[in-house]
Amino acid sequence: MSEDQSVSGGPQRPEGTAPVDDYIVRLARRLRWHGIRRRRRLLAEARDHLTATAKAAIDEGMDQPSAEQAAVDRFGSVEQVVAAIGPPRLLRHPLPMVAGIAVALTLLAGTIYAFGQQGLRQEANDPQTAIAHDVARRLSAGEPAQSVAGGPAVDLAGDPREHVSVFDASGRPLASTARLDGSQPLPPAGVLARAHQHGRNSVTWQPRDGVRVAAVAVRWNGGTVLVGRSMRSVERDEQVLLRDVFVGWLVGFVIIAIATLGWSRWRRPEAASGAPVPVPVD
Amino acid sequence: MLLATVRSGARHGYAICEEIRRRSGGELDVPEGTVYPALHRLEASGLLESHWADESRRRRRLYRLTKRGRAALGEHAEQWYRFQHAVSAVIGGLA
Repeated sequence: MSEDQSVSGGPQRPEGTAPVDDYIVRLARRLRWHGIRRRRRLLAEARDHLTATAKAAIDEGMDQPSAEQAAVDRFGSVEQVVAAIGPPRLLRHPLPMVAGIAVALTLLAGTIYAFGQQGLRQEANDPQTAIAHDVARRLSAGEPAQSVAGGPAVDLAGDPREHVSVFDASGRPLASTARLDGSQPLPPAGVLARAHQHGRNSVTWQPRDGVRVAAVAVRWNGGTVLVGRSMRSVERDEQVLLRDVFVGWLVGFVIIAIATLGWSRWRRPEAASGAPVPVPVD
Repeated sequence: MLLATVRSGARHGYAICEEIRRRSGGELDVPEGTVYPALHRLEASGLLESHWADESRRRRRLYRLTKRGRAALGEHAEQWYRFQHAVSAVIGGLA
């Protein structure tokens, strides 16, 4: 018997003339948090029991509404039955649900942070990529290295501006606006070799402890050009993102945990309410 | 008590309630709806097992004792008889 059949029963009769149907509907409402399978089974058994009891009374000469009402009376009040069942598992053990929510929230927060960080990192490379391609095009057109990388020096340790370095095919520096501790820092040879081989290479370059550069190397006819920018602002944005995501996670978790625990405490007395119940000895 | 009503064979909830009433001569008249949660708990603890069966064009859930349930029934019955005997002896001594 399906749950719908258990709840709705047969053809509709005017309210008050179908005590069994009315009882099943009220019982179904009170069991809505008890899990579909448990609820379905109990409603099916209750309907069968009430129908059998009413039929026995009808066979003894009672009219149907009276027989159904007598069956309902013998079955016990909805409150008595619900109290005998006890509170739903969720109300008895809300902590697993809270733990599940915490895990789900953590996964969600981790995903948001991962995508946000990925976006920030990609955006961090955008200006360098555009500049590197432009400089490579100008170098390939014959413009001298000093002309494209001869501007004011950029200190990698603190200057947020982009810096440009031009290298020949063997990796020897031709010109550069990058400075660190007064001299031109050189990237690992593999960075330039890979860019020369594949046309482009994006790396996070750490020329010194505490100094990190988002660098893009692009091939030109006579070698490679490397354009970099301090990651300090990106890292600051990442920290802000991490803080925001953590605060969101914490606030969400606290709200949901309080709501879940509060709800379970609020519902529990209702499940146990009603008159004292003579529960059969198991 | 519920275990004892299915000792001789599988019964559905309605028949179990009827059997309790019949055996107790109507003295034990619990709200019948509270029998089902108790049956479910006994099944969950492995003392009963149940299945749906079609009886007289009606689908009913039949309960029967498991091996563990039969053993538990024996233990509980023995405990009850000891308790009953002890209480009877005390009351009889006071009379």
